[in-house]
Amino acid sequence: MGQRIVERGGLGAGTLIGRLALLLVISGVIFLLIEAAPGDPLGQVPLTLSPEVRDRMRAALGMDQPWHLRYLLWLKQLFWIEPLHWLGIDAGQRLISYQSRAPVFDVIAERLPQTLWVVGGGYLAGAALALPMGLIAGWRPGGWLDRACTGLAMLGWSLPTFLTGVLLVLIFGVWLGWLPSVYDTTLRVQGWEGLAQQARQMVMPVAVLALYNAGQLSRVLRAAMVQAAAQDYIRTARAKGMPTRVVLWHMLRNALLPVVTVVALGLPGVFGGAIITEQVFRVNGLGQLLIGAVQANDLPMVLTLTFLFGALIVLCNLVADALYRWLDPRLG
Amino acid sequence: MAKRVLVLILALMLLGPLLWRIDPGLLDMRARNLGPGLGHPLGTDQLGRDMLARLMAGGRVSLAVGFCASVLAVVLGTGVGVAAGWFRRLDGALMRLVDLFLALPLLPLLLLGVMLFREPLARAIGPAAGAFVLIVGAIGLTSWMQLARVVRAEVMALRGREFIVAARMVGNGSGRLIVRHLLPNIAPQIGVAASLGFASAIMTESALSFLGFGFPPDLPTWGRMLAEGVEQMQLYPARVLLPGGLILLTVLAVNALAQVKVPR
Repeated sequence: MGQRIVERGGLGAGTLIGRLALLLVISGVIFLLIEAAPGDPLGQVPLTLSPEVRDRMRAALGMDQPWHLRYLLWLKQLFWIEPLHWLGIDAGQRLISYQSRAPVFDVIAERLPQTLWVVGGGYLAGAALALPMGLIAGWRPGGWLDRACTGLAMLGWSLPTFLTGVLLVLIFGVWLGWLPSVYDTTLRVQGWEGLAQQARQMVMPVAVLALYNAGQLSRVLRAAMVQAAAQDYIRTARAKGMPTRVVLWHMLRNALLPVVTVVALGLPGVFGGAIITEQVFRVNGLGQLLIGAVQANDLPMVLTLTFLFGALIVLCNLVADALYRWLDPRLG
Repeated sequence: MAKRVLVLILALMLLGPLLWRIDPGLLDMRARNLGPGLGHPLGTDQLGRDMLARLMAGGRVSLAVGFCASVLAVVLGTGVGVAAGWFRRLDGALMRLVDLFLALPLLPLLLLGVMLFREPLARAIGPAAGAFVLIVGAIGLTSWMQLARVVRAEVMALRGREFIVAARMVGNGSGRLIVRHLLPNIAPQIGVAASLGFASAIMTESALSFLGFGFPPDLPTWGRMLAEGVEQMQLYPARVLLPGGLILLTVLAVNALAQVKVPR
């Protein structure tokens, strides 16, 4: 299936190699940014330590090597040792976090589910909200429903996620007391009660992200609907006396094209927004991991997480390209 | 409506401190956590600082960050866009650069950059000025790419038009053509991008402050005040609602203005 999309999309090996090269450049930029900064992973170590001990600690972290060797070692660990480790082959020293002394990818795997729950839920709920909003707004541009939906979208788009989150906590967590204001990260979902509890604590973070996503998506869908409504085939369909349902379906099929692209392209941004949302509700996902690692100068963790975010962007771009070309054969 | 709200906020933040002369940093331990009253119209915070004065001081910083960062982004975006659209030899390289910046994970890099460069800059030019330069620079450097693309497309569409060709035949050089004929014609797009950039810079600054990567504690901004207020949200919700409401009003007003002015 994936192969077919790539072929039909005309995304040959050249594009793929270009994207891989882009990934490499991104990794280099991230590494050099950290290298250029005068920070020191031993900055928190007491000054009373003797210089020899300090040098040995530095050597233990691998910091005594020149930067290009450390960069190459990081690349090797990222692209060679870690994938082999997943296959069950021990190829050498894995990436180790300075902070927890645990392998970086084990920590990430531990935190990933929480982020995926919240981000995925927010994304799906946002799309589910944006679809009717964009449809209603684009069906009769200028009507009162359009103005209401556009206003709502504008609000969702202008509300910073940290403000929405705090407001929701204030209203539903503090004043009404309906929902827990802090995400219980130790919760194990066992049976229906656990599931209900998980759902209750997910409502607010998901709602925050959903409102933000819905704002962006419904704007795109509305614009696409308005554009589709002006097309000849819609006039023809109307002139033939097609019922509204059919005309709407004709419009929607074409209007969804840009929406699909925006959905795919917007995913990395949602992960970014999740960093803030996780902080508001104290969800121990990837965002919180990143912030903790940045504050603790945990270089391997920061490098790897930032690179993974970059890789996600490149991947989403690739998927958006392929999807667009697959859905719209005129481009193929 | 949007214009009036914006003018009101700007006037309150810029002219307000001339009328309301309480020092926003003045600690008054005997007047902590006061409700709204005559001496303090919006009450005081947990250290006895006047909320109204702090909101105005914080607003000035937030608005200044938004303004400077969007100016930086507009200058960079317009420069790169015009260069790529006008000079064909630069086009490929510059657009690669734009693609690279668009593929970078910006929020993680912002956090990282602020964390890494905060102390050296603070040592070089003082904590407040250092934080200001750092945050404006970081936001400006990460938000010029969309504008560069738009400007490039506009320039490419314009460069074949008769009046540009005629102006070039008369003997005008590239510099004069760009300044006198090209830029005035893409000014509306730049204006819209600048106001959207202003709004998003204020949001980004607030988000950074909220995450603890913003200004030092003694320098209030709306985002910082909101983050500080979250801890006592249950007892004093106004400390979250006031700065949060001001951020929202400003961003909404600017976005609404920009939407009205979108060129068709």
